[in-house]
Amino acid sequence: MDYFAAHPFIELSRKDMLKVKFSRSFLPIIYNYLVPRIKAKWGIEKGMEVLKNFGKRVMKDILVYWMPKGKTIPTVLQNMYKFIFYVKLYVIKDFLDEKPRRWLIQDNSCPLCWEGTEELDIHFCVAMAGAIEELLNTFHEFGYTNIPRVTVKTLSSKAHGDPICTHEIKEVI
Amino acid sequence: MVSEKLGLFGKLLAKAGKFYLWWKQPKLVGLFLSLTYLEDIKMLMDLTDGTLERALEEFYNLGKIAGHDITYEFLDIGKYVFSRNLADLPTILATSYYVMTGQKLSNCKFYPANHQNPAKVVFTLDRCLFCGGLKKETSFEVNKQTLGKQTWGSVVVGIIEAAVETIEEYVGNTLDIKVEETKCIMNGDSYAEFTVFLYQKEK
Repeated sequence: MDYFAAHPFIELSRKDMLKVKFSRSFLPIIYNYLVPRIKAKWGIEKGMEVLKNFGKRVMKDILVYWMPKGKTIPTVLQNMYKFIFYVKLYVIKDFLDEKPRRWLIQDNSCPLCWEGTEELDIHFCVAMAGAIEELLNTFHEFGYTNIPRVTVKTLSSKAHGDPICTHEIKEVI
Repeated sequence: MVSEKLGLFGKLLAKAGKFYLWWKQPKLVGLFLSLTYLEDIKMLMDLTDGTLERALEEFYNLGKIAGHDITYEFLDIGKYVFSRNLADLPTILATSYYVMTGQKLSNCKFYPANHQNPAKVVFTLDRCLFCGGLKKETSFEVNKQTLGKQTWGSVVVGIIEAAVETIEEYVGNTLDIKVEETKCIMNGDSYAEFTVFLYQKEK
């Protein structure tokens, strides 16, 4: 029996989805159940790579439809966090004198390290490192001279028991 | 103390409370959610036998666990709008959906049991957030054949099933809950429809 066939239906495109908000609690809960399975199948080292690639793929897909504004790493990252997660990054340290260049992101409202999540084997939000790496390297490929090719590594995570999540961005020479 | 039936105060509280709770929720942009949802399913395909149907079955199982966790978090605040009366379930479902998505259900109706069918609640989404833009996806095919017995919203089915189970257990009703996505855009339907079947447990 067709109960509500007469109701108008709007089929959302991916561009429409950029205008829609959703509760963030859904994301870490599902991720929380995937991580142990990934570790069980691929082990810790390979599992971390799989999770990082997971973040890279999501960001790659997003960038087809939307790119943050900005010409430097701090502004691009702040704009990305603000648009996607509605948060401001706590700190972005820029080590101006170092060669190769290095930046440190400190995130106290990590979208993945949800309250109560405990993961002692790996840094839980390694997928965020993948997403950041993909974002910055795409900017580099598009010719933004202030943004070098980088690798991103997660140094601390709340789910690991650390007080804050930290991702290190390193220039690749 | 859970009420037998939601009164005017309970209904007003649900109406006003959902806006406050949605405002308080940490949020993310919908596209990020729908693309993560897609990648979760691809990951589950890698973790199982490589078929979409099996991955969605696993996603349903994840939804069941997640649904219990999410609902337990909200029990304390939600108890003010819970009741033993099954006819109040549409209010509870619509409130919960709004708290998670900021969206209204387009229709949500309760159908009492009759001699042939169990009681049920049927609701539709006029803007399905889970498959938004999915028809453009080229990395794998989502259609009737690849979905098999599953639907794209299998995790949502699991979450709703677990949520209604948790709530009904909390209010003291002894029911077996079964949720089906009775219409799915990715299955060729023009909108998403979910049916919550409420079976009385045999004594």
